[in-house]
Amino acid sequence: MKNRTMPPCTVMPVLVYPQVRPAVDWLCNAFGFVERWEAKGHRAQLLVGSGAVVVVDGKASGTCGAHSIMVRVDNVIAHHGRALLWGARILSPPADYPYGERQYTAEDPGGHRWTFSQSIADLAPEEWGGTSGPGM
Amino acid sequence: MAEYDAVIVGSGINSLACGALLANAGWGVCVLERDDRLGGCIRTEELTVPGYLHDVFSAWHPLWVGGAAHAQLADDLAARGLEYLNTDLPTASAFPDGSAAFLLRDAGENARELGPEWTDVLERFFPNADLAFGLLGTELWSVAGLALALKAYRRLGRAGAAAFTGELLQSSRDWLVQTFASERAHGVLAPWVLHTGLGPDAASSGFMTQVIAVAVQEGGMPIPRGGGARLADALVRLIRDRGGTCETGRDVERILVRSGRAAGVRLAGGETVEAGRAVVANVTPTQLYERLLEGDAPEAARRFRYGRAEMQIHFALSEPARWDGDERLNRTAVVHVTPGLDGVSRAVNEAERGLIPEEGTVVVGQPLTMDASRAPEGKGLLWIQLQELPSRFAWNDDARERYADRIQARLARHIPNLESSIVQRVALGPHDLERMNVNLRHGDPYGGALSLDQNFLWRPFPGSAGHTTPVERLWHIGASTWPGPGLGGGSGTLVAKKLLEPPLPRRLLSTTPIRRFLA
Repeated sequence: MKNRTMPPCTVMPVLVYPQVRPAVDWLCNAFGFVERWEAKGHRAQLLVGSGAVVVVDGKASGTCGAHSIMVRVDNVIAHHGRALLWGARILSPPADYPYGERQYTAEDPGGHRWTFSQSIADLAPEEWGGTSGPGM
Repeated sequence: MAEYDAVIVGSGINSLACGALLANAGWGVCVLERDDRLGGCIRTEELTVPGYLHDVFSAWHPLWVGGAAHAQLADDLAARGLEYLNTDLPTASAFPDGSAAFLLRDAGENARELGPEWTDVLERFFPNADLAFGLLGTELWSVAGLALALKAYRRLGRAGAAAFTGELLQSSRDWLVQTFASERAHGVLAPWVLHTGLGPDAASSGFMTQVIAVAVQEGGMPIPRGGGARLADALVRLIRDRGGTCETGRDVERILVRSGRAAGVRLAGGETVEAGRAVVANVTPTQLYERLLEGDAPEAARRFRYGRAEMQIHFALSEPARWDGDERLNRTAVVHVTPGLDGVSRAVNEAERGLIPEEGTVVVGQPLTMDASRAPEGKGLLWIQLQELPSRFAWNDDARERYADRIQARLARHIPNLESSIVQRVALGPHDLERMNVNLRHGDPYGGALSLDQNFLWRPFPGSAGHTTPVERLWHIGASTWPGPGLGGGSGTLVAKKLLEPPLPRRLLSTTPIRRFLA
């Protein structure tokens, strides 16, 4: 399913910064990334060519100091079951979020965090309180 | 071409109870089983290594021993080798902090375990126990069902009967939280709703929790000496001694209907067996309406929903399991390893959403606590059941073993000698269950979801309740029909009773309300 909130790629790093706005500005200026949307200062999505990165506020997202990788999948429920049976540590179980995604977060045996995300509604950032940027 | 009074399709507990009651009354009975053994989900096998007798699926017989069929057949079955064993330690819950809570056989001891509120529960329950147990043993769409309702109405008054009905619909959570202050009491009772196919937040699960709690205190946790299959053996022997037939490897593929009446069955291979008075089908609605009966299935049958999936794990151990914490756990028949009420609730919810539960309830059965004959001397044996699994999941052997590993690791925290004493482990996943028994659809052991719209007056679905079918002389029994799943033989008994009872006018005249009216 398509969700306008999500970028056209499958894998995207989710990077934690002390403050989102200065980080977004710096990444766009220094590396040429293009802002896709921003959510009230706690999260933003940037286009990097045909890929994307997500910038989050460590304090607001509760993942202080730990970056993660987001991966879009077709069926997050089945994905969760398989990961659980293979011993993934589930940090947050599958849940539906207002930006049109069903997600769960798990830690792999190497201590890396992964968020798997399935689109369940086609929403523009404005529909859930975000602000579209030039990359939208 | 053989001819009988009644042909019974399938050989589970309801078939055998129905067959035995009919055969005892002089009917010519023929039980046809597609599998290579009789008994349906009652099956005892050396599943792991020789010398260890495992009840492969069902194991505990309190519903049977407390039920109507046993009341009528107990002597006949005892004469054919059936012996029940029981315990003073029927059930407990073991919590993650290492503590445990027990439900015992004595009202006073239970008041100490669960809290003084238990005494109030019993005082409220016992005066109307006949209504509660009567409900579960009565054909609801019948004169008897009406008589039961009238009895409740006369005894309790309109307001009281309405209150009784309201309590009937309460969830286990609401009843437990309202009744007991102790979370440990919630934790020892809540897992039992899983054994009725419900979850603690489902309508009517509060009533079932109460009925089970009282039934366990009063009846314990009986099992047959030598394995659950001894019950099926004794019933089969009784049917045969009364001139009946029970055959394996006989796959019924069609119910023969002539002039709108069930007249017999056709087996795979073409052979037919004629039934002069009744065909009784102990199958799911899917089997009955989409396979055994010709023509399009009624819409309600196609919409019939199945419940959560189940897994069984069998352990053969080189020594008895030694539990951490309360020493009585070693001697308890059924231990639930659970975080408590919220844990059961969460796991059920996860399974219903299609998720593998993170901390599912582990039902740990210890038949050796009552019957030492089930394993070589000095050895250990565990019967594990997991009833909170998603049916909508791509179950395969690999997923099954990984889930079993997960459960084993959790159990090992409570039973420190578990992993060092495993001789053999055999797990049966939802996909195995359906492969082994066609009526365990999607691994649902309870013959269909027991949500309110598929329970009570509406089981299996509106318009088909009361064990009748659109075809005259064709009766539908089994877990998919009222009074639902469980090793009680309830539906088989109700149908046998209906087949044996005198014609309607005489019956009507003999029912209490009408007798009173005439007087």
